[in-house]
Amino acid sequence: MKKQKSDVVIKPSFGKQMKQYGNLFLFYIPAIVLVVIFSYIPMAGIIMAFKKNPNLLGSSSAIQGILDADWIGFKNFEKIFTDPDIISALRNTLIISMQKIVILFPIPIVMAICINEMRGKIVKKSLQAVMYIPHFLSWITVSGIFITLLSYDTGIVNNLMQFFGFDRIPFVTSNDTFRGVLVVSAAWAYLGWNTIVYVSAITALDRDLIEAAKIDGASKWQQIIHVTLPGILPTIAVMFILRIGGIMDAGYDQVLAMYSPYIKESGDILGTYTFRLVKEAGLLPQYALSTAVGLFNSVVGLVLVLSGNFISRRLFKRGLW
Amino acid sequence: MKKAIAMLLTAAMSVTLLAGCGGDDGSSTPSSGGAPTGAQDSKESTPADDGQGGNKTLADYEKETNLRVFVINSGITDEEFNNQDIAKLIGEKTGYNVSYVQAPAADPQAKNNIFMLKEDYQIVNVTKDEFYVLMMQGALAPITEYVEASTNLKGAMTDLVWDSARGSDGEIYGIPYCQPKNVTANGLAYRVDWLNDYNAENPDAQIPVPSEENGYSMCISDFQKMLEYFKGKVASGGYPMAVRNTSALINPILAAFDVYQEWVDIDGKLTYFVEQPGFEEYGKFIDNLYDTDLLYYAKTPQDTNDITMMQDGRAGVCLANHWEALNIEKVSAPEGADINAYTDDNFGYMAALVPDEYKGDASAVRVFSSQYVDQYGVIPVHNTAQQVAGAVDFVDKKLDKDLFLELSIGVEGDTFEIRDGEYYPILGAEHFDKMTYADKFLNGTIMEDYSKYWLARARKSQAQEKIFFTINYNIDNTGIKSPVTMMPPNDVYNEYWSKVNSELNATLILNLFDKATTYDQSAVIATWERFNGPDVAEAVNEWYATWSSKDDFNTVKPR
Repeated sequence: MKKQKSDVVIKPSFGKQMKQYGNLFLFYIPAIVLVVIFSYIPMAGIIMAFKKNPNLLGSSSAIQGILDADWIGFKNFEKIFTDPDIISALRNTLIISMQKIVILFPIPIVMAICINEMRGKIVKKSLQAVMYIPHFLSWITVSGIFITLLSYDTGIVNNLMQFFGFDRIPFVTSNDTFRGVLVVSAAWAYLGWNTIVYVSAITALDRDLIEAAKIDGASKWQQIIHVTLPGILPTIAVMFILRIGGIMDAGYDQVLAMYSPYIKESGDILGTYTFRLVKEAGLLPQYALSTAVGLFNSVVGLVLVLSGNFISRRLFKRGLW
Repeated sequence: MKKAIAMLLTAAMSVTLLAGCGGDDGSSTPSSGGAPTGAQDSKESTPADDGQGGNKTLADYEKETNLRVFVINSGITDEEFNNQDIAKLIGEKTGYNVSYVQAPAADPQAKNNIFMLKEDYQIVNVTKDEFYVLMMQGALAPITEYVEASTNLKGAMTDLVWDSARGSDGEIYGIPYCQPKNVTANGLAYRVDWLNDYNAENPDAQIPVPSEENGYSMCISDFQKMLEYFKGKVASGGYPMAVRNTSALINPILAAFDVYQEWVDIDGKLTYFVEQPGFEEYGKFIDNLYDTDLLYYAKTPQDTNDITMMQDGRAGVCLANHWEALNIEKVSAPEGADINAYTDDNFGYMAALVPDEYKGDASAVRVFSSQYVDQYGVIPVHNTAQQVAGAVDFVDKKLDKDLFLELSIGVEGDTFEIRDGEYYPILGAEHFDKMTYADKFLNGTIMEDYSKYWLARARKSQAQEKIFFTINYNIDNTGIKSPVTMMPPNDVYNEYWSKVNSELNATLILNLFDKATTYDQSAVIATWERFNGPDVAEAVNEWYATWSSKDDFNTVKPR
């Protein structure tokens, strides 16, 4: 059927939009200024990845120090990727991130649906509040809580295990259990907060659709599968793409707060590797090497975001772009 | 109307943001407009001579009298620090208007920012390693000319100490802060009452209590026997000995295996501790203690530490720094007792262990003694000649003999007293209110005087005095220093040492404090070699071969 003229939506030209709403574009300015100053201008520092370690301390300015350093092409990358430690750190980063995505990504969606289905308003609100409070604690505090609870000698978990006849387990200092501790503590700290996003998405769903499903005789389960989940799919897709983009960040501050030589094999990630490059690789911080690692992280992150977006568009017809 | 307000707010936010991100407007810079920045210009911007053909003094230089000084963190706010009586006294006596900024406790990189961003500081206190890096990067102003022109500063320290502050061009780049005496910082704290119980129960196998007679030492086998006995004395969940989560090296025990310092001269070559002959035996000894539950190691910083375990009876021995003794002993003080005058006789200290063949031989005791120079006051290179002259003059004035005494330990009869030629603090609130942070205000010391004054600071509490004079008993005949503390900046050392040291520590922790592993010296050496340890050793020995003071530096020889 031919579309009626009145149905056709004509997108106004940029000039027309400016004329009509031009003053509203001013609201963009703080955001643009912030992004330019804190995200785009610092990108110029990427050149350090292709230069000798700059003399930032003794030059007339830090920028001059960077400009004066000699170009060395890809030598920093060669140096990094011939270090067996970075291969191990890369592997650990990907494993820990994947574990967090596979285990932790679906849980907030399920929890949001459960919370949405709860009847008591007070209980519902209290539960949400209790769940997202851990998000505001620093990783030093959270790791302190978990290390105390899981302590081999005095932790309540090991005391209970011993009481029930099991052997004590060095949860935080064993390569067998460390990644599990990371996932569980991340769940405790972040699940509540992540759940809020999905609760908001569910709240914004058209209630008429759910009412219609009810009238058509849909059970609770069918309402969830056929109405709620498809309704929040765009939100899930966006969150998933963003999460995939952050795959190279396996939780640097979380790992650092619990780090010890005992778990280097399973817990040394790119973030802690870079930290050591800056802090311990020499008495002089290795800015060039750590920039190279950072650039590598960012490139991989960008590729993953683009891939995630592509897959999302193909599978769910939804994406960031 | 709403649109207009919104536009106004948005514009205001943007302007504020831009202003906030803008550079320094220069209003905080004390130097007047147009003055050439950079101390390299100092010779040009100051009078070439005094006009009389004689030696110049600091009085001949034009000086900036408003100074900003960056000091190490004291655990109080900057406002409190600046309001200390000592700060006011310094301002009054030197005539300088000084504002102090403390390094953020959790951000050691803050010092780098000062140099990177050319922040307005005239004196920055840095560690020895930081000093060398900054000097090699050309970030420091040369101050030789001003030191030569000083009244008190130049003669306050020995040439050996000044040499440690010189670059390869012969210029002085920092004001050294010396450890005033040859001292050892830590020893082993142990439960004397439990050891006495052992001796009472075992009249035929006595363990001599550490005392003057045996140089406050114990032999290795007695120490192990003592730990085994303590196993039955510690509270539930305890261990005979506890070690904190920092390092795998326990100096008073290392000394029993002939490892006396991190770098020791063996057959004319400086050898790092892991390559010293006795280190493997040390590793096996500690590994055995851990595997047999005689030793507890706090595997993470959040695990219970050794001092807490000593306090609550869950440990019978721990490594203790002399400033920690009060914490250990005060727990048993009755309510209302003067903590600083209190000691608990149940706790004792020993300086070091000795091999079994030297049991009871006080002359065989050897201890690690601390670095000679551990801090420098430096002047960033971007300061003007007037600021550099002002900063050095400020330090010079602080080293006036009378003022230095007052800055170090206060006023006689008020905060200290002299008994038999020794300086003692007058303990109490008065002393602590005035003198707690005194050493944080010092740059440079009058070495000869400070070695006496400093002891008063070690007597701040009777518990500290007790441990300090125990572990430092006969130190002039037992303490061995590391020559590397006197080594000038060295490229190879700077590049690799920190990394190799950190990796070695991790390897040692895994080897010593894990029941699933047996101590493996070859793994330790492999780490040393993998992370350029031999390169470091080579660089250190290249310098050592040419060091003229090597024969005089350590008067105490290995056992």
